[in-house]
Amino acid sequence: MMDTPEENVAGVAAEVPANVDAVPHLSVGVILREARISHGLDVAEVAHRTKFAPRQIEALEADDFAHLPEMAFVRGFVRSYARVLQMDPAPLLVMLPQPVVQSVPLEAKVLTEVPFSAEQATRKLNLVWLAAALAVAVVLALLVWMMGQAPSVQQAKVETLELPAPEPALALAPTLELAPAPAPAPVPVPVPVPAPAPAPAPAIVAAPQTVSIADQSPKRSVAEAKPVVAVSGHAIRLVFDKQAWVEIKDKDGKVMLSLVGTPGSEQGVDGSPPFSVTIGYASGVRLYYKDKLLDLAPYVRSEVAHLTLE
Amino acid sequence: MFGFLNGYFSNDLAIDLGTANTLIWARGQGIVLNEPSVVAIRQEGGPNGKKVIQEVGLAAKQMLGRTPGNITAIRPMKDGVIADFTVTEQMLKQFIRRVHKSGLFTPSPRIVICVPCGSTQVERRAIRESAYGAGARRVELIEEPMAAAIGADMPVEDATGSMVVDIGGGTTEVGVISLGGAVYSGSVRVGGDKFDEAIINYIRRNYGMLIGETTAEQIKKEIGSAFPGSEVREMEVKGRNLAEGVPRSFTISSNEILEALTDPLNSIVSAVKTALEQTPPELGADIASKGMVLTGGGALLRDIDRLLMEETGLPVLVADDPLTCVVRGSGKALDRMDKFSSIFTSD
Repeated sequence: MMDTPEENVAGVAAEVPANVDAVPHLSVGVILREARISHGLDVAEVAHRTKFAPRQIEALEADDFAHLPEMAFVRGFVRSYARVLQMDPAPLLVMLPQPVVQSVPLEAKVLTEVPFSAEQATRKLNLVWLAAALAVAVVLALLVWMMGQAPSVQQAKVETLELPAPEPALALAPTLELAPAPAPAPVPVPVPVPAPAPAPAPAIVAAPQTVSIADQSPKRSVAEAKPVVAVSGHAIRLVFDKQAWVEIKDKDGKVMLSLVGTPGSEQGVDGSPPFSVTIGYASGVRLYYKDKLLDLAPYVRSEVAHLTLE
Repeated sequence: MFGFLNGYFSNDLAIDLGTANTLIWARGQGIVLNEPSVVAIRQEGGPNGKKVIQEVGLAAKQMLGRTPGNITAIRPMKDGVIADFTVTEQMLKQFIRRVHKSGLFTPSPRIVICVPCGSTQVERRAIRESAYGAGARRVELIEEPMAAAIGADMPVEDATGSMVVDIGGGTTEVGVISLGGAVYSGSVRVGGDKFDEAIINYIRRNYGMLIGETTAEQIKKEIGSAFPGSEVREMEVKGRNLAEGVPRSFTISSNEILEALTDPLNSIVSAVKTALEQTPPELGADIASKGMVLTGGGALLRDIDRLLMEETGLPVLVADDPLTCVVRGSGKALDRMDKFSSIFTSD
């Protein structure tokens, strides 16, 4: 590596690389020996200058690499020898057997060593970890799936419970409230017209207040030809004239009702007041609280009513 | 848990963080970066302004000694170890960014980084931390003599002694290796920088001229010699005359440079002799038979092998491509990182 082009200017140096090119079958040892002889040097002199033993010089000249150190050292040796002979070492180094074989025994040797088994162990450990991780992932996925299933089942139950609720409420309402007056019961459903006639009579008997309410409700029911029942068992009752969204929370903030009511349907809610009521389309809903119709107009802002019922 | 998978997706790097040059070897690509360890820092907006990195590597080296007031070109490594932690970290970060493209699905690289065998725990920790700071996922340190020996294709795993002398920019490392471990390792803080310094001092003392580090390095490369040879070469040098204060040129010969380099060369010879004294006789016999191998940029100094040969009486060989031996060796160690865990230092 330390040689520079200046050193190669010498006559012999110019000749020898030329020979190398001309006679490619010549080996490194032969070229070096011929160059040494042409310089008039003996093996001892070269050994003295390169500090290698004479037997190593002879081994190199005989291309006997078995008696020489590893190729990394032989390359340095050739470089050193070439410099003594004022030759360019590059062509000689190209002719040397490449030290590729060096890495193969190194690899093979490593495989047989103790650390390799440790490495195998760690790889096995990795596989164990991988298997465990997969198992955990599967269990988690199953849990998540089950969790996802459970609420839908509950919801379905709630819906099935809620949906038929209005009908019994309607059915119960007359039996509870209007028990003394059985006449109004058939009134709303089959024939609205003859209903008012028998209705006032028992209402007057029962209580004047109920009369007034009963008086109001039939009027509306007649007008709209729909729910005539004025009283129900629910604290809050919602009558949907148009499709509207409703949410009702009790005093604990628990959502008692949250749905989109279809036109013509009714919903009743019981719970502990105060109730927080939000109605998405207030003009399409009538709200009865404790069987009294509330005017939602003061609470409406851009069609949405927010109010609290004490 | 899946850390072993990262190895398949990231480019692991081996870094020779040298005083003079930083080399990076990437798995499957070979040497991907060879740049001087120099950083140019620009101060923005007055003395209290923030500092930004202007250039790193070769471009920064060309600025050395030629910078205006607001730019400082510095070498953050000194004597083989970190002299300026922050700047080293930034330099490493810049170099790694050049060779390791970071992406969303690209994990940070594992890095093998060389340290001088004579460095202290604090110095090693600094190097490790700077590599982590530069974005490494895992950092392994390897001593330079071991890396140099592996890079020079020496039979480090065999039951035979192999001696390597790595003359770097800041330190000279001497190691005797057998069965995959260092039987002896020594380090002296003498290297290419000390050669440059000796040349600067010699010229100032004998010529009354002041030259810069870059010029000194150029002189060393062109006519520097470690052993008196038959050929005397000369070179014209320009510097500032200390007496007159104006630039002047003069001619200096290789023999003068040899004289200038005597002190640092003697330190290296002493380190080698000490190593030989400390080496067990069986391994000493192996070394006498096979010779010692020179690596590092210092091995390119003319006739340094001859000097060591004459001083020790042993064969001295220069490795193939001595400048890259250390990083190539680190790369080989990186390739077999899992199997060769013993060759990495635990400090």
